Amino acid sequence: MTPLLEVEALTVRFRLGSVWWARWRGRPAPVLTAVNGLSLRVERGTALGIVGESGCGKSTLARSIVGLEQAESGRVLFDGLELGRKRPPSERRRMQMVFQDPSSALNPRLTVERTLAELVRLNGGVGRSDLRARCEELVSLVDLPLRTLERLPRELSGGQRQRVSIARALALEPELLIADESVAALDVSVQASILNLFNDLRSQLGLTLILISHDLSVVRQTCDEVAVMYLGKVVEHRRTEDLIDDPLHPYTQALIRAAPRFGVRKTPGLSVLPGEPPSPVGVRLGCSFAPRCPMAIDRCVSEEPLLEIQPGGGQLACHVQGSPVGAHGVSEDIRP
Amino acid sequence: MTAPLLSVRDLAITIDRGGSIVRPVDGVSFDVGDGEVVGIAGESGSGKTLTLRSLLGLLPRGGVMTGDVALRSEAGGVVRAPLAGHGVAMVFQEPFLALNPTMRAGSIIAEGVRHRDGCSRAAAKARVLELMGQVGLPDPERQARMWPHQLSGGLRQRVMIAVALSARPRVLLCDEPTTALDVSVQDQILGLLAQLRAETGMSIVFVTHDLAVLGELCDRVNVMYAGQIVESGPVVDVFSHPVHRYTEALLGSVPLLGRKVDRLAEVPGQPPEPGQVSVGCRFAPRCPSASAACSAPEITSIQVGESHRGTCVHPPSVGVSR
Repeated sequence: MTPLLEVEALTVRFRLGSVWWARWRGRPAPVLTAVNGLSLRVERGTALGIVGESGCGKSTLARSIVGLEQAESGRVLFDGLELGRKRPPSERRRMQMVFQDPSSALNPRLTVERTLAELVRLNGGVGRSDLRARCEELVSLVDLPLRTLERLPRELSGGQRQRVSIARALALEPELLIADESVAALDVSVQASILNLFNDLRSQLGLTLILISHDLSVVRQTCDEVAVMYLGKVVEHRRTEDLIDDPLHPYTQALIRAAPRFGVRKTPGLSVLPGEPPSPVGVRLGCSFAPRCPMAIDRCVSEEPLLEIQPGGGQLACHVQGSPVGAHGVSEDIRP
Repeated sequence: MTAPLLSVRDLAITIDRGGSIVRPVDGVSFDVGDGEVVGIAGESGSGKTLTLRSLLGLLPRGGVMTGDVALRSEAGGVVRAPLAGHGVAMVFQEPFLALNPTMRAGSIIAEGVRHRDGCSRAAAKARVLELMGQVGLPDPERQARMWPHQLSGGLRQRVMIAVALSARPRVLLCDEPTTALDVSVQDQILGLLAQLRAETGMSIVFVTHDLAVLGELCDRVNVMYAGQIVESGPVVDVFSHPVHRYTEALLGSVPLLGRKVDRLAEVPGQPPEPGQVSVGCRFAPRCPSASAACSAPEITSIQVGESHRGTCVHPPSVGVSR
């Protein structure tokens, strides 16, 4: 079966500063590689969590999947069809995004009804008389009272606003919903209700979900699979339980040990992952995690590990933790 | 038993907002012992940051503080609020906003050192480098010449902790110092705070909405709701056997890394605006087990064990395990 979404060797780069200035100084303009040859498959109906720290390129990945960012190279296939630079509305509507900050994502001058009606009309197939009915349907889908339709965004709480932005994304009846840090700015009790809502919507509408978060426990609660990103690359992509209970990549292991847990006291002075990620500006050789990795060997510095299918399921990009059996069952030569 | 290092009694903050008077903090009492890490947990708008800032005398415009804040001074006497300049220092949430962007990291730290110690430039420089080493800034000589915008979030937060430490505080007030940071950096900063506590024996008051962070660092925790402390006690007891329905709901809404739950607990409704609080238990309008008794003007607090208490009419049954 073709996966709903397939990302192949996607690379997104941003040039920093002015080209003219760089030319005048006689140096190439610095280039930031946000997404670096990344590949990803999302099967229909699954919920994929993408986790990573700030600057790892997770938001850029999401934005280039929906077409808000131009990729330098690589392909994005949706339902087997390649998405080009210009996408017709019929393709765009099939995937929708929910952003982190609902207050800046909603037009402050439009009531919830007008925000939703605009999209319902665009989606077509709904007559003027049925507009209201469809809007009512949308707000009840996200568990908001009907009177919310008359409200302006500023009259709503943060959680309600986030529900409105979810309703707006659902107005186009997408098959794929991408939520970019959609619960990060919310209080825990509100976050809980939004996460529950995502779970409900998945079972009600059969949505495929990509949830981007820096919080592994949020992902555990919501997603079937997790892809861990580090500096523009997926380093480990496995089923959620496998990945969290038995992380393979040293970076995933560190992320999980760094996450605060109930009943675990902090050891004074000890941190599981010293230092900070290297800059995404410029070019690198080898594994990007190698400078901070406690398990790094010589090979990690010289040769970049590829994301390979593991015998126990899932994918991993690591020379040390990876199985010597390669992606296609061919034994890789291990250098002395 | 000696008196606690810092004692806060019936702290209330009243703000006059052009005619309407609101009380975002209403009758907060807690103690901080020597070398103790005390957490204040609560959601946005619960008054936790306001409480912390008022200890230093940082009140919002039109804000008036009442109540008794007493810090045991080194000489054995008592210092009343505002405590700024009396061995109490603060680490703010947003290290970028709290650091002067026109000063280099070293100068920012030196400013406080020279002001307080009144020492020479050379002596101040030595002290700055010592402080920077203490907070684990790599290569202090080089970092001291950096501007705040050249530092990453984690390093900025370390600079801010160094500024706070320059006052040789006995109580360090931390206002969500790790909220804006990534998990691995958060882990580093929490490790640093635990280490500084062990080295210097200072007390820490740590305010955050992240319960798991409190669980890692704190000895005691106070849970705030709508300007009041609804439950307080040793962190293990509060998290394993909460005696207030709000604490229970809050704990149930936190997703766990260790296992997936069928459904996270949701708290219906929203916290009240300051000024629209109900009589009696302020959580009652949202509480699933509320009854008429919850709107009694005075709710007697229940005590479990030595120092675990909460003000709830219908405390959750003991034995809620997490």
